[in-house]
Amino acid sequence: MPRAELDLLQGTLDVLVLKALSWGARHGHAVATWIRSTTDEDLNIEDGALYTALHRLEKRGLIEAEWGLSDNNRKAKYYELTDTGRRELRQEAARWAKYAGAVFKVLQATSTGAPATAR
Amino acid sequence: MEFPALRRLFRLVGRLPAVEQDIDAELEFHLDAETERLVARGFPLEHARTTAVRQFENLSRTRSELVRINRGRRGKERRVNWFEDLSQDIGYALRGIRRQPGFAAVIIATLGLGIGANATMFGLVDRLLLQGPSQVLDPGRVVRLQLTEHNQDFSQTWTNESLAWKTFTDQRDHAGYFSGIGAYFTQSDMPLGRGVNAGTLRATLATPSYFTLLGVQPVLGRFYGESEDQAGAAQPVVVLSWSYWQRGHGGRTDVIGQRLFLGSQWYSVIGVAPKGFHGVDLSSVDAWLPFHAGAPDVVGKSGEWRDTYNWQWLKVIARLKPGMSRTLASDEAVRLQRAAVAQVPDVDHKASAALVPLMGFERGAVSHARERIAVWLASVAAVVLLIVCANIANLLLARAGSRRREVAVRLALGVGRGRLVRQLLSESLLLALLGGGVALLLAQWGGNLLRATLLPDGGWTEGTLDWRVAGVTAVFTIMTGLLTGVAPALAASNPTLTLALRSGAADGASPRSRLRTGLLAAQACLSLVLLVGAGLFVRSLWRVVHTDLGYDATNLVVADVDLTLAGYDKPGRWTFYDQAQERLRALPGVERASLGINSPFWTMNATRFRLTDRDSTPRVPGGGPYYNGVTPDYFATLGMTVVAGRGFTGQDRIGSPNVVVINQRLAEFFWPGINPLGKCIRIGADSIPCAEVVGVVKTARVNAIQEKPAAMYYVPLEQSIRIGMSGDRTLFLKTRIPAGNIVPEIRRLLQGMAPNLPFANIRTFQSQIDPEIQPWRLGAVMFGLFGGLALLVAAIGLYSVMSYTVIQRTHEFGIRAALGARPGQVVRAVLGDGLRVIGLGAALGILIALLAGRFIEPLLYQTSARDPLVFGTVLLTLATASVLAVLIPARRATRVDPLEALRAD
Repeated sequence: MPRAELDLLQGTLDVLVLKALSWGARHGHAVATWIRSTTDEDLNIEDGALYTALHRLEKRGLIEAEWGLSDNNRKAKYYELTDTGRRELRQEAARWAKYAGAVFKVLQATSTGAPATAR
Repeated sequence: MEFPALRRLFRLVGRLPAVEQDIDAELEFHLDAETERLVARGFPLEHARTTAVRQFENLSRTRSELVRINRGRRGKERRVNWFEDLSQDIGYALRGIRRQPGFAAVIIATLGLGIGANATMFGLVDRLLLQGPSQVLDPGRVVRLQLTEHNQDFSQTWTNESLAWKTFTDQRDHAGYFSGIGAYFTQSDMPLGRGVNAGTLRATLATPSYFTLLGVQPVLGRFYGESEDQAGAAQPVVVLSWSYWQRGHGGRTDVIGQRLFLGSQWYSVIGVAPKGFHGVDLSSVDAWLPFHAGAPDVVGKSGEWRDTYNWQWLKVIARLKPGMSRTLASDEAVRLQRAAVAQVPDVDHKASAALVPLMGFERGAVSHARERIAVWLASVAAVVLLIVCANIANLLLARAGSRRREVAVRLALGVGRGRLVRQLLSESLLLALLGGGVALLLAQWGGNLLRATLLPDGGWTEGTLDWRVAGVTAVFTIMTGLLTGVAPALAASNPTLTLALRSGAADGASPRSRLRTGLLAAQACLSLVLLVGAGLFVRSLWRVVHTDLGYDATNLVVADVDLTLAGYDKPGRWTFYDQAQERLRALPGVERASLGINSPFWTMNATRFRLTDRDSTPRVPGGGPYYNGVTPDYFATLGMTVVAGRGFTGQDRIGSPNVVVINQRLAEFFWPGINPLGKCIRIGADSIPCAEVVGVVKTARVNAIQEKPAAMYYVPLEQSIRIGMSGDRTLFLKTRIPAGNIVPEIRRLLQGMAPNLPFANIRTFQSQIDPEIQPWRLGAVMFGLFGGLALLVAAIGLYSVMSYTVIQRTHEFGIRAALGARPGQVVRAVLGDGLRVIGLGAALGILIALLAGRFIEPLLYQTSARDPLVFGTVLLTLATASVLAVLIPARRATRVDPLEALRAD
């Protein structure tokens, strides 16, 4: 089943991970599954990149890790947003909305502006 | 989410899982979860697993990337954990202190005293021996010139730091070992001002090179230059010390240009030296004058001192040239010195010059007694700290034993032994730190006290607590904390011991008990040594104070005024003193007034002395015959006893026959067994008629407490002039009220007798003797303090250990009581145990004290280092203290209820 796979822009993955954790603690696999299903698997997220992002965010203090038990009683590492992480998510989401809106406006433009003057 | 929280708690105790394990577990979970997901979608299990792994691209690269990210983070976490542990340890230690505040207070106080004593002594030794003089640039390169000469009259070799101006110029003009060389002399009572308000200053005459070679810069104004210090053309300018500038001029900058009347002339203030600078000696300086400007008021106007080697009074310092060694420089100095005096008569041609450092022991014979005392006291302080350490280790050991259940519980809970040791160590360290705080307070207080007694005239502009003292205190504190904590911590956390204790066995012969017994014996031993030292010094002091010097120093005041500064000629000076004597005698507070040429412990004089009934006059071993010219009231004023014949009367004047009073020493030496009264002595020139011996006085000390009896004779002051004794006068006053209260009145009268009189030097007779008594007084006080402290600490240690033993043996005492043992028997058993240990230590202590005796003997006065009275008293004191310390726990042992005791285990 061929699909238009989009490559991620730098730094985007971090926002997605933060968003994925905004409803509560999740382990790495759950985060990956959630992003894939929410984007209808349009985004190609490498597992390696996802885990690297998780650990980096933990190091930056945006998320916290804790060992816990998964639904089927297995030991799993759960990640949770810290207060800093929550703030970061709000700011980044707003930035993204603005950015996307701006890009969208340009792409939807109907008439051309003033033509460039020739030299 | 409850469980992870619990897990976090565990992590404090257990080891952190390795970073790799953590990551592997996480990735493993991911692959498992993905496999399950795929299986749920219908993949076969085998296939699902491979797919999951394949989907996870770059698995191994990701893993190493994650490890890299986490390494740094875990390091930080571990540090955080370390701090968490530390705060936990401190909390634990604080709880321990709160639980037994009395116990902690004893330990903190003991530590404070022990460390404080050492910090104080370090501060002093540092200043005396280690630290260079303040504000001096690179003091290690500054040296002092010494001369070792053989004196034929006394057939003795002297090492001298007081040198002739010629010796200085020989080196200055011809040697090449220095980059700068200077001469100085400090006059401790240079008269300041005139009239009723006249005072004195500590003034240093210094060549201009003195400042440049020491590398000091003025904080205000300037120092003087070579052109201002020329012989015959010296400028009357003065540089003030910072402390005198503050004290005498309120630190005002307009002091420059103001004038001071010093000695016999006005000086203009041209500069102020930096704070703390007092030259290179230990005493303070108020002002510096150009050498040639101040010299006439110190050594006379003749200038003769510049041309002779015999006038030895000034001190020489030099800064070695870069790269020049002290040995090479000394060699050159000797060569030069010998070459210079080769043709000079009456000079020791073999005298050797040496360059010695400013600080430390290398000053050899010249190094001051107080430096030795300081080192002695520092060693004693160190011994006290050892005792304190032994004691606290013992207390903590005893407590570690009583905590065995707590420790056992913690060990059972899985607390690692290392962690436990750390916890116990942090407790002793915390105690030591608190003790260190107390020590700093003590050092501040004790340091000031010690300075005031040992170096009263030191230039102490800096506080007692500098960073060096604080640093050393910190080191002492931490060392003490570790020293006292290690043994108890190791013992307490030893699982096998804990096991042994848990089974209820008494630890009669356990290694720990042996260690404690040993520590106790060591304490007893060291305390005994210190107490013996204290006893010996106290006995010396007692003997010194009770030595019959031949005078009655009670309410005896001595006074003189330097009238030459005020321009009086010799007859004028004599008249002045005669009048002063009359007017002072009229004061209601003055009982007797008299005059003498010389003052005991201050000056002495000798002249030609021959016996008419012998051909030759042998020398008197012990010195003399010295003379004094005195007024009739002199013997009564000084409380001297006339043992035969009579003293002088108003009739012994210029017109009447010459008479003399001799002391017993002179009488017994020249006329053993013969009545000396009526014998005739020829004093001074042959043309003068001989003087008839009319009286004998009891031999009194001439110059020092520790001197052999010296021969001495006294002539009537009026006749002394005819004999050719032309010395100045000194006033002696016996007062009705304590001397200190009448000094201001005497001063007003003396300084007001004529206009423009300089400061009168008025002192108590006792103050002329005190400097000699000082070493014994200091030794007695310091050894006494330290010895008492050691005894107290040892007694506390004995008490606590015996108390603990009683608790340990509750079971045994219970059985004994049940078997019908009488209280007396139990007390004897406990007493016996305690006293055996003390006895062992004391025996060892006596041995050490006897061996160390010969080192201390030279410091004692008429006291053997093996004085049986001292040893007896000390042993008795130690025994009493020990019995008291043991008796309380022993009595407690008798109150053991047999039933209770047997039920306990």
